[in-house]
Amino acid sequence: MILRRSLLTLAAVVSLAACNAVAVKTAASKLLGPTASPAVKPAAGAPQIWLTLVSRGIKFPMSQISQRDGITIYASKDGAQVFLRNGILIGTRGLGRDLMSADAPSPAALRTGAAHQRSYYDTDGTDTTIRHIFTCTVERDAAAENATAEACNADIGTIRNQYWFDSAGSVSKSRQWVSQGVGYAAVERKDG
Amino acid sequence: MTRSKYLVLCGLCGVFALPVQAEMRPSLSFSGVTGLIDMPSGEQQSDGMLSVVKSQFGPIGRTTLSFQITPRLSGSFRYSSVKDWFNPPEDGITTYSDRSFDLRYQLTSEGRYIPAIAVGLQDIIGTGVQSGEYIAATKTFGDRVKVTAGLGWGRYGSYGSIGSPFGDRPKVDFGEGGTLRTGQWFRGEMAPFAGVEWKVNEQWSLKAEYSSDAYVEESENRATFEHNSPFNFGVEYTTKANIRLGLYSLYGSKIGFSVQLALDPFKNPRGGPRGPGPLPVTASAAAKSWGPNWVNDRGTQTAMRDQTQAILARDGITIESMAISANRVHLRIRNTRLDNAPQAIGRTARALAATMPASVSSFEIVAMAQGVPLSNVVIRRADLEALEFAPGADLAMDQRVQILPVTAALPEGAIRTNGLYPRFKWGLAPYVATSLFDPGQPLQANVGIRLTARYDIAPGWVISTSIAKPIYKGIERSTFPSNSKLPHVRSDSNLYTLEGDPAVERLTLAWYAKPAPELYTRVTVGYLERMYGGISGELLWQQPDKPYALGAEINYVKQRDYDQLFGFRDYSIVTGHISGYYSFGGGYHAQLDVGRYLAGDYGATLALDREFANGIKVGAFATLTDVPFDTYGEGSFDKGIRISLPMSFFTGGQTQKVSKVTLRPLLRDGGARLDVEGRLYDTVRQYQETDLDAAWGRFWR
Repeated sequence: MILRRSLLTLAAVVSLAACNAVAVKTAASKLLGPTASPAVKPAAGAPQIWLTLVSRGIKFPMSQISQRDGITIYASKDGAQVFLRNGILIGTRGLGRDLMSADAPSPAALRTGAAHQRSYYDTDGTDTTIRHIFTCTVERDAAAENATAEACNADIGTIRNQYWFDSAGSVSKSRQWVSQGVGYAAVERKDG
Repeated sequence: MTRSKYLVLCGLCGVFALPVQAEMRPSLSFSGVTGLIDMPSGEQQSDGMLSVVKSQFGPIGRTTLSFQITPRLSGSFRYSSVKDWFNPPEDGITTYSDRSFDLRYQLTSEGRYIPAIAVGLQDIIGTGVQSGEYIAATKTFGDRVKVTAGLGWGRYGSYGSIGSPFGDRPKVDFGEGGTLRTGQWFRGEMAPFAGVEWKVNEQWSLKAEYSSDAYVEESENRATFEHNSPFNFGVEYTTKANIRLGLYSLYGSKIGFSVQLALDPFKNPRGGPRGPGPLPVTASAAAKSWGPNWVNDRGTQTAMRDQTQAILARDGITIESMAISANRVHLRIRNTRLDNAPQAIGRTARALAATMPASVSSFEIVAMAQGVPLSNVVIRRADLEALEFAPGADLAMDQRVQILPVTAALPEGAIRTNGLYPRFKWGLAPYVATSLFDPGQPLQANVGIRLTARYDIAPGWVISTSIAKPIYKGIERSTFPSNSKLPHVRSDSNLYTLEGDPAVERLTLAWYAKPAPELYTRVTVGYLERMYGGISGELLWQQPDKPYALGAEINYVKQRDYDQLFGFRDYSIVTGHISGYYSFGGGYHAQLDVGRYLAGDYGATLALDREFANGIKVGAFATLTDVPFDTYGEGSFDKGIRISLPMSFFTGGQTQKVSKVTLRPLLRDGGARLDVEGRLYDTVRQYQETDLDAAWGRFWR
């Protein structure tokens, strides 16, 4: 093999990885990788939520595109998805370091206040699945009876999920951890 | 997003955040290995880290590529130059340039009381000008201070020696270079070195060190700079990504700088793949009704295929054929955009769940490349439904799918997609061609434009070409023309670069086929590569569930004219190899080729690669043939480093583009192989069990 495209390409690629300039990335993505259009368009009048990615400071609406086996999938306009089982986050797609799957407690279990374990599954940069096992305790807010916090520990650190329940016992609002790359996502019903 | 930023923002918004982890990323030295300023340290980079360091002080310049091969072993390849070395000039050249290779092993990682200790061998196979050995220990105090102390031999024992505990360092006649000089290791004068690094804040750090390198040859013997003091000082700035810049005072006489770039394959710069989420799995209970007679109605089946295709088109997946029976669908696809094979299979399975009648319970997904089917991934529809939201769904699915061999013949009743053949595709892109390590001009480049085109006549039959037209010609005629005693099968490379304007780099007709479920063939005729034309035949035996494969290749080629148009030179040869491929697991991969090389020499090439499922690959290869080292010439035998970097890792976009680099310290004529396009193993392996398993984490993405 001849020394074509060699060191310069390497330097270019490494610096592309290194410098995070938005312009470079936009240009690169235009040049190097078309993005697919979203898989499903939500039906008119589909239920909606607000999703806030706390560490990125962005908030956007998402519409329900699927409901199966008690799990609702909401999608944003650009096709990012969150999976909620009775309001508890068990998956994301298209947010960066996605939560690929989760072993999570039900709202009813949370409301009993019992200590528990839960697992988050994500992937590292090599597409290898990583399981994070958290040991959690539940704290009830004495002042607000409908609020519950779940404090969890794992080798990668400590997280705190917060849930607010409506009178029927469903999660009406929450702030839940996604992954090390994404941080916390806050979920609210859009139409109250 | 970097972790530190995330923590700061979370702190601001009052959320109970992950604890701040004191982290001082091990920095890289002037020599491009983990270290202080000019001295190594006892630390190492994190597993898989790939780095490039460019450094310069006074007349001394170094460019070093390093790779953390395993969690404890790392290797570095360095190009170094010393200005004003030859006085008077030799052959009009005053700068001495050299390549060197290091290996380094971590004996202990840092513990509460134990420091990190590393032992290193520098310049183990070159001329030995840079050679030195060291053992270094580094301990972190608090989360901001690191102290390093070590002992050096060779270069690193040349200043402030405290004796020669292991005897004298024998002089070694390096001959043509390229051979190990184990007899020198840890012999001769031994000297201590030490240093300290203080991390002021996230961006800035200060360093000071006492160097045990006297620069005997550079300073005392050749007076290229003055060594006034063993103390070096520096300040380094880390940008938010993996870039570090350093400014230093060296040896009491010179100001130096370094630029450090690092790439961690385990950390996706974009967090993960971009792009929309997948189509949710449709329950078969809710499956679309196609009426009672769809099993016998090709019209309805064609409609099913069209609907599936409409979904898959969003991800760049093309259906080549589809065969549907009452309980099974056999789908052959071509994945043109997604870099991850399991993701392409997962998205195809989801599309089938949306379009197939309820009774179809088994999905057979066959990926095709070059018109040839690679494997049959069988997915039960019930598993798809049951596992979509299951914890650890990818592993559970991986255990339930079957990966089977597949024949070229289509199942009965298959509906081929019309209009796929013939197909014409072309592209125009800029290119940079470099010429490295020429003694007179170590880095030169041409910039130009390259036209590539591909015409798929029928499944397996491809005409393709690549034509390059240089626009800026920075590569000059080498003042060191080939003096090779062998036929000039590669060493006239410079002449091809000079005269190819425009150059028909490749113009071939290839035929790919699959005579048996585990047997693949290729025949390529035409102008196979920039220096050779002829005919090339290849056979590969690969079972889908095995981590190994066997191949054989035979070629009759004739050397092309330097202008890379249609003429040939006089030299022709029959060359070929038997190849074995083996995956050790964990991403470690070996390839052994045994056969006859371009110059008619017989021998073997061993290549070892570290491969990551995201497509990043770093490897090294070496070829030994029956050509004696002194006939081969400088370097003694052919060897080099190869790196593959997939674009998708950096952009997160849907692209299969891969940037490939092969670095050789020298390109000579012994152990040279033909560079034919489309070899079978690389075409086939992505959809075999070993590679699918490694990348399976994205099945549900």
